Amino acid sequence: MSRLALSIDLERCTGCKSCEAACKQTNALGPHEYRNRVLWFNENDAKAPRLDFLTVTCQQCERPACLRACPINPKVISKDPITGVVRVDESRCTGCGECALACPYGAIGYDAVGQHAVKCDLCANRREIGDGPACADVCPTQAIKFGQRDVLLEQAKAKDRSVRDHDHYLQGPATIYLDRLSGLWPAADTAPIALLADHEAREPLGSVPAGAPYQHQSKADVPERVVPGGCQICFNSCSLKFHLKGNDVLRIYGNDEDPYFGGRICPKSQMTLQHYRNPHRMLYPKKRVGARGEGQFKRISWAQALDEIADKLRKQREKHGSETLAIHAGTRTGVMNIVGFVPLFAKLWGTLNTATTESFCDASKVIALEQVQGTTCQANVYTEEDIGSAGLYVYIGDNQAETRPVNFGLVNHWRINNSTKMIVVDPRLTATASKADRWFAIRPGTDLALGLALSYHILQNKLHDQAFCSEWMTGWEVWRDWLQEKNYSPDWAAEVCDIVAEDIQWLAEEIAAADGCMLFVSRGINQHSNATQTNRVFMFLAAITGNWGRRGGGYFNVASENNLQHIPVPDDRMASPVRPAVSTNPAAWVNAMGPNAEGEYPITALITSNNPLTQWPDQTRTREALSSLDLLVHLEGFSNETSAYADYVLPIASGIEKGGPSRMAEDRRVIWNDRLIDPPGEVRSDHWIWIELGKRLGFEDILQEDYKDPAVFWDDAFRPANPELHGITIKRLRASPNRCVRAPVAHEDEPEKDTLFLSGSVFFGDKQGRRFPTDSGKLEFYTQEMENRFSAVGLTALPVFYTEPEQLIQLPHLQNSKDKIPVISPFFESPVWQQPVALVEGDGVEATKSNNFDTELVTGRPPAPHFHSWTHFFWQAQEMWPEQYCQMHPEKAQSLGVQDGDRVKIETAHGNVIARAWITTGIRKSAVYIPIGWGERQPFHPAQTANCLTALTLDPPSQQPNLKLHLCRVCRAE
Amino acid sequence: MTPTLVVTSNTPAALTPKRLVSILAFCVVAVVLALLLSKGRPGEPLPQLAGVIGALLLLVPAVFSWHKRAGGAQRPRSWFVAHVLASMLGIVFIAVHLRSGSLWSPPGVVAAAMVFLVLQGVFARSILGRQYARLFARSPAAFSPIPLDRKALAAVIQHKVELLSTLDSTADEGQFSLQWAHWIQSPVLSWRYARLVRKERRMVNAGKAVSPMLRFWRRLHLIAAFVFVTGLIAHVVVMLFFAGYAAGGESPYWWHLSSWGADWGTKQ
Repeated sequence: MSRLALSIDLERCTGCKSCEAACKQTNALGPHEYRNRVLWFNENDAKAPRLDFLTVTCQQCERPACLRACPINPKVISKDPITGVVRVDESRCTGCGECALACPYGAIGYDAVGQHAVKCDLCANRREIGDGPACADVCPTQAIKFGQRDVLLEQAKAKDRSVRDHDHYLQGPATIYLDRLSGLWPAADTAPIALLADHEAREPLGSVPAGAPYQHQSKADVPERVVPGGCQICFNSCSLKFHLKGNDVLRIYGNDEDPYFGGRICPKSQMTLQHYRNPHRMLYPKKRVGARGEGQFKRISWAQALDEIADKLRKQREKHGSETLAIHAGTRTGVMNIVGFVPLFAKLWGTLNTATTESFCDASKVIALEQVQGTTCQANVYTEEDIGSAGLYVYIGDNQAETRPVNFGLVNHWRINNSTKMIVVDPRLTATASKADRWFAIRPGTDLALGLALSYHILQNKLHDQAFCSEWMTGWEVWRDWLQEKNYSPDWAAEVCDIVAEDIQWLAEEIAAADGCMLFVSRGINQHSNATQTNRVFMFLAAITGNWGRRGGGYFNVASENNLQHIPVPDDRMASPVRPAVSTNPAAWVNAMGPNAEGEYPITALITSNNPLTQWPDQTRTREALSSLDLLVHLEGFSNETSAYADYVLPIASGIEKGGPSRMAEDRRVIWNDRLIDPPGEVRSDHWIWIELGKRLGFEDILQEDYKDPAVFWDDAFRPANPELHGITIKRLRASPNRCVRAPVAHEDEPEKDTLFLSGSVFFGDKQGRRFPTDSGKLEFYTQEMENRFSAVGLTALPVFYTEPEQLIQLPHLQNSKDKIPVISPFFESPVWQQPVALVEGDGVEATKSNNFDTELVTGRPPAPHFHSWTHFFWQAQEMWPEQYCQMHPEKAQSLGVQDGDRVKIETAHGNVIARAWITTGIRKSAVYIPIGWGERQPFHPAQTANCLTALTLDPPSQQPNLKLHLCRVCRAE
Repeated sequence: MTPTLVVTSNTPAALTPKRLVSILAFCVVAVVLALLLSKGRPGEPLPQLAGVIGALLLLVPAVFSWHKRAGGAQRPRSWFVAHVLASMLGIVFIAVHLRSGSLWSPPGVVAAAMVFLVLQGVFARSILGRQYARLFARSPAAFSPIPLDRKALAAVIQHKVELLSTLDSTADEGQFSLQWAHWIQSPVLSWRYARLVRKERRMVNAGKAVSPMLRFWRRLHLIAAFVFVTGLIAHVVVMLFFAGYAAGGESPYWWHLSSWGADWGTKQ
């Protein structure tokens, strides 16, 4: 038998740290204990900035320095003569540390609590039962492979991959590193980014009691059962296997029976182990006894909490009307809650002021898809035949590697295997961009201009798919003429986007020439006040190049909603009359709160999940507004800023504590969780809360008692209301080895569909036999009805370029037309107020410049281990990425006298935030970036939310706010 | 059925830093009490008995050090714990013994070395343990091309292999390190081999990114322990066999070999 080894492909690794998570849970490691660790490197070459990742783990050396350094006789460290695996016998190790000092690769860890060395033994325990190392099994990008060293080397040779020679010390390392395809790698004197190398930043993790829950495991902890299910953290809902013993989750791995992901998962799924028994969970209902924001509460019973809330709601209704209650549902509470229970309750109660987080994430895409395609179902799926067969991958404002690591792992795998080109447009060199052939550091907020110019160039040069345009697009010629008339050329866009015209032309030609281009766009374009138009323009670009309704080509904007419908309520049970909603965006509800409330009626009561007091823009105003409410009820798992302001705090269950589907996966898959464990304390599912509250308000005939069982609610109420889910019965979901079924399916026996809208196909359930369920049966870009809709809110169906008011150069933007009265938006099914807008030139620039706001502030998602606020309660996620940070260019840093890792103050017209500097050439010189998710009341690394820096500006059609771009100034923090 | 995994937990720590500090605190209190409450000169029967017990306890670390290198260390962790506890307890007995003794005397130096050893040991385990943990992934440069003379290094390794064929013909150089037995059986060869080991270490320079405190504390601990054990033995030998010298011309008041013999003879 040849030596066993890991092969680590540096071209595939995206630095997600899933391997670290797998290692710690498998080997019961606590904070500061490592058997593997992923380092991030910037290569700050101004001409060719790079971002690289290195997984450090034991090299299983032929001549192990650690073994030779061990002073104990017989040695505590041993080398298997057959497999070559080097192991440490922790039960005999006295913790002298000589091995750690001797290893030139720095690959020996140390348990400072247990006082002994720790090191990778390629998961000896797992190998004993026929598994491989956990890191290799979970790796989302397939960067880590395990096997016989000779075989791995043969495989690398067969693929013409260069194997790194790092045997400088002649120790014969077995671990294989496959070089980047470019052959480039950081020089030996390149240090990892200071933020990640700083051990002091991780000192707060010392408070974690013995590395809970991993170190609580013992040899006796043999799982009694392994049950498939899904992750509840993000919209990817990766399929998992829960290893359970009694009421405890021992481990969480990927589901190796999943035909697409094959058991590959990101670190977040695994770290939900730290969610279920987290010491920071809220366990009981509480009532505020101090002033708002003080966080003074007393424990009360559920009965008291719900009785009092119901009583206060009734009084509110009598005083102000039912619409004065607003409900903001959190997405991690699951799709049955946000599309099922909350709308049901709202209809029975009589308010249209309900929202999910869609209004922050992708409402603009939803509106654009409805306009263009007639349905929100997205065509493409992550199969070899579909997305895997693309001739080009273009990412615009989508950092998929860090937001959906498993999906990106697939795309990156296809990119490498098929030598497919990848292009990324983003103000930052993200982990996604680090794998791209070209990276364009676009001026934030100007993607609309880029899309217009790309379309212009393609049409001008007749590079479009004439057949598709003629047969399947309505209004494309009108757009063509419009682009011509407005002269939205690459030359025009070059200055706007800060990308040279030749590059725009090149990109357009690449897209047009590709045999299938997958155009990925996401929050980078969605979270702008021009988002609906930008989405429409990129849809247009995809369509004119024939990248719609085909395998290997398409427009993709996460996530795919499957046209979910609310459960109908009998007319005689609907509350009426109901005044129009203040807004579909909860952040705009603040305008109707407090003593200076605007609009037809005030909002005086709010039931909310999530954490509005970090999530909503313009925190100063939001906090004033929420302080003024008569009733604020907070449903959450952890106590956060919003809890501190709430009158009642209701602890909610999540994932396998409550059961049900979490989110619809990115490629239309429904993933079911059974209720597998009891929640801690008196925690209840939000389903239970809505039903119990409903009972107290007389809604028990609709919000029925037996709906507390999620399977009953799904089969009896939710599924029947959604034709696309008709075939996804609980029976079918439970019969599936990965608990997944892809929508749409009409009945239980109908096979799942992969790519939708293929040529010659009829859209699901369309009785008129149309390929696209629009009035014309084609993709619609311009119709008179459409023009009427856009003009009602002050826009035109033909896209005009505009951006955010805060830009470093003079560019057009929107202003509310104060002289026009609010209208009912034509873009929503239910009536919603909308203030019409008008286009103005960039007169806001001087105002911001005069305040020395000389820098573009870009915000967005942090790296893969984090997702909004929950992961900040997981110690391991904090260990991976501890502190709030601010990326900036070396030239910017130099001008400010800032060193890598220093604390800096970022200030906008709306507030300021302190963060640690991460200096990198992988960002525009004129921009800084800070991630979202940190909050002031988090346990390990509290920090002000990025939304202390943002203001409220809405995209008129979708009412989605700009969260991405503001002007700021930066200085060293004292 | 899906195969399930048995996770090996971390070895339960007998002496976590927290426990170690607690024991040290207990020890300090006990030493203070001993210094305050014990009466008489060091050589009087009770303090002398305490000194004997203390000395025996303080020899446990030396036995631990020998044992773990001698080839039969099956339970070195237990021996490690014993060395810590024996040291802590030993120091309390010694405190009783030296209550009225002077630190500015040869036995005082031994006592100072003893205190240094205990404090350094506790410091290393409670504070430096975290620093050892921080060593992981300290050498990313090792994965990049570095200017190391591989030919020279190969020559050193080859030299080791050749030497080892004489020193221990069954050993594999890649997994070999010198043990007591080698030093005893072939001191010259062992010394030559040790020089090559040091040379290789210097060339590899694995400790480049490690703080001097972390690199040298253990060496210092061993040197101090050697000084202490040597001093302890010397003290015992002088007090027992050279009591007159130790008494400085006065009559030794403590039990010593000649007096023991004399007393025994008189009593007969």
